[in-house]
Amino acid sequence: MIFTSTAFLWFLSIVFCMYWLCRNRHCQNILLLVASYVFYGFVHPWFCVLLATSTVADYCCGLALVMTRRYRGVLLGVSLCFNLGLLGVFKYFNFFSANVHAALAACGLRVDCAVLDIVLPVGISFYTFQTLSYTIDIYKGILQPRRNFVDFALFVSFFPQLVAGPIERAGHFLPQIERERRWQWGQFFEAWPLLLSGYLKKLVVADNVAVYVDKVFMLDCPSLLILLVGSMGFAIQIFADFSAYTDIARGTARLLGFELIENFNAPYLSVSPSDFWRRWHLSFSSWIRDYVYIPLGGSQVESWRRFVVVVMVTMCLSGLWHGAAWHFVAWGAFHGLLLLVYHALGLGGRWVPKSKKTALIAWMVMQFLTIVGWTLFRCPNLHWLGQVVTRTEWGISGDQLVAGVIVALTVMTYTLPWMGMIFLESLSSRRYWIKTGYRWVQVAVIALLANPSPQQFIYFQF
Amino acid sequence: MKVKIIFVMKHLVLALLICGGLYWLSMHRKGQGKDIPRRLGQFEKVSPNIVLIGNSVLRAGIDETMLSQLMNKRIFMASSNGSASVWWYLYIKNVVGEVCHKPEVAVIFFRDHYLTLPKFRTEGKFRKPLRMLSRPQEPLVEQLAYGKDVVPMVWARAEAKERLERRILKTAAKFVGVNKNVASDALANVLGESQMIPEFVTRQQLASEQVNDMRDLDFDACLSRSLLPHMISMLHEKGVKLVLVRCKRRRDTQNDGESIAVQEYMKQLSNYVRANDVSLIDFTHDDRLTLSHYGPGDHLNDEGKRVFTQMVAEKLAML
Repeated sequence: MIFTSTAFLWFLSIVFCMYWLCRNRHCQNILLLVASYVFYGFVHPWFCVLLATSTVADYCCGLALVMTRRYRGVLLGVSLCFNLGLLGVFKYFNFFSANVHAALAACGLRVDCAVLDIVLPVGISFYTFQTLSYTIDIYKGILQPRRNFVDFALFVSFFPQLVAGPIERAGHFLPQIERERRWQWGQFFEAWPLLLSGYLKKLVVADNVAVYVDKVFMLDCPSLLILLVGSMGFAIQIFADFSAYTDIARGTARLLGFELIENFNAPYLSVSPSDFWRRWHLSFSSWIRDYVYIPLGGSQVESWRRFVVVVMVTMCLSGLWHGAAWHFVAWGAFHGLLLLVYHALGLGGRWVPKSKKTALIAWMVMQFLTIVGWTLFRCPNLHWLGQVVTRTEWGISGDQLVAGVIVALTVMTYTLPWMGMIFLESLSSRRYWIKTGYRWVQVAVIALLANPSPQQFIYFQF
Repeated sequence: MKVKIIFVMKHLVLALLICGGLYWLSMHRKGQGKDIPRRLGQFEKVSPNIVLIGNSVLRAGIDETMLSQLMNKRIFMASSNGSASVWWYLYIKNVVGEVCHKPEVAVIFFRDHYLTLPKFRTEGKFRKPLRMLSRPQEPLVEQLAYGKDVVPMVWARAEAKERLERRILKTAAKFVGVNKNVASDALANVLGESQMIPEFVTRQQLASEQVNDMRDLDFDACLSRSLLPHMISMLHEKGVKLVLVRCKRRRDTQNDGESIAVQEYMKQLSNYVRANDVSLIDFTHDDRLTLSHYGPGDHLNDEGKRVFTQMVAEKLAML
């Protein structure tokens, strides 16, 4: 079930009413758990089997970890193997199989390429990371395992954030599941701006911009100008799309009395790669930092060579997490390289520009590099990108210029209602009726300018 | 209490303003029926023996002149890019049904199960051609294709998006110092389907047309909700023979076979049309069209066009 479908609106309305009719948190949790499984298995019911298996495995591992001292390492290994195994089979099997096949073929060996003809279970990367963090935190002794199975299962499957995050930590989310929740009107007034902004960003900005971006990335050989405009469009599309999902997830959770973590903090205002990763997909970047980068020794490396290895491994893995294709790995590697270069130039970590002029230059450079990164991320494959870069026209013909201006203007126009929203949100809370009036205008904008053929959220495929 | 009432009242006023505005916008359907006189004129001018109805697959697949020579008949092609069953129905009702000249045969070119899926391609950019071919009242279309409950908002949306994108085109054209037709052509030249990698176009097309609902392949259930029986009865009344041509898709050249649901659907469609004195020609399994005959998506290239025109001429001659 997707947030932009009519089915979801009906589903949410029913769940919302039934949920607040329950007076007891245990009943509320059971209801939410059932609702989450209905939500997840709405199109492919077998997805629920995977989710349930992952839940049971980590619940048992979590409990077993505190019962025994002797086999703690083994139990953690079992949990890691199980969760990463699920990801490996359902997400990466075909990728690895195709690459092994290609490598063997290059060596002159002919073998049949094994292919799994299955649909990628949506959100598998998100809930796998969530359950992994639970077990690792128990292993580290910073979290106590939960005995209440329903509470834990709800932590894994909570439907607003199940398929595209934010990736919640047990330490933040489980206490919310375990406390009593009472309806307050304040929750509604916190939720509806989030829901509105989410739907506006997804249906008006992301889905309309996607029409042009998709065209650019299907061209046989776009000129550099068109590729640049397409990539800028994609930068807007992916941010609008993903932050829209987060907003709707947060708004929905708020309606049910939960507070999910924020995933974005104005990423396109970043002035360096480190700054970018402190602003973009926060729940994922902090996960990668805490469970990959730091355990690899990234925070206390002594040699420059080791630092390079740790950063590159971390970033390539984060690229691979996004999708089973080499261009995602290249995107991760590109960001890894940027982090290293900036670090070498003394601009890494918490570097802040000293003057406004430096800040402006740093911002412009970073935005350009981010867009280059998004080109790697969005391109259909690296071969296509290589062809484009080597074969493309460097000059700008009349048609290219006109088409480029039209696409850029269209993208900017569809982004305007979002900009208006950001501006009004920055106004003081005393201007309540200006903000409220604009929210009703947002309703009209969604009704009038929503793309009639809504597309899936980009992060669903990860 | 008073503060709360004022608060609610203010929200109600805002909601009324927005909903009223949307309703007002939806009442202004620019260009309603504008295309009908032009289409009628074109039809009368050719006075065809055979009229071919379809979308861009027909446009890319049939050479009108060649077919006319092969069959020694006057052929007229009525197509609209991206059109589906609603546009075909409107064309039969408002053009074929209203001209003085009576063609012998009307041929509809369709793919898969889209003949009985009236809601398919009726929103967004597909709404404008439908509006231009509609009479002020099209109750059947409103009921079966648009769904009465959402009509005002959908009409308003189609209008607003169209106006906005036209305005953007004009502004961009002014910005670079060309007229809007040049700008429109430039956009088509640079981002047109012919510039794209056929494999990518096909993949995107298939993704957007995926059958998510198996009910769409339940012929009996779909028939009563479709415009097919109405098209058949209108043409029968006028004494025009209807021929349905199922086009071969690019993916049919690569797939080993169709799903059982599609096979069952086609069997039922075949039985239904036979009972209603309609001919059905299915080219899906014809080996004369191969992958090399296809351009982007399901569109045939020049060689494919030549082969397909010959295939159609042969089959029509046999009827």
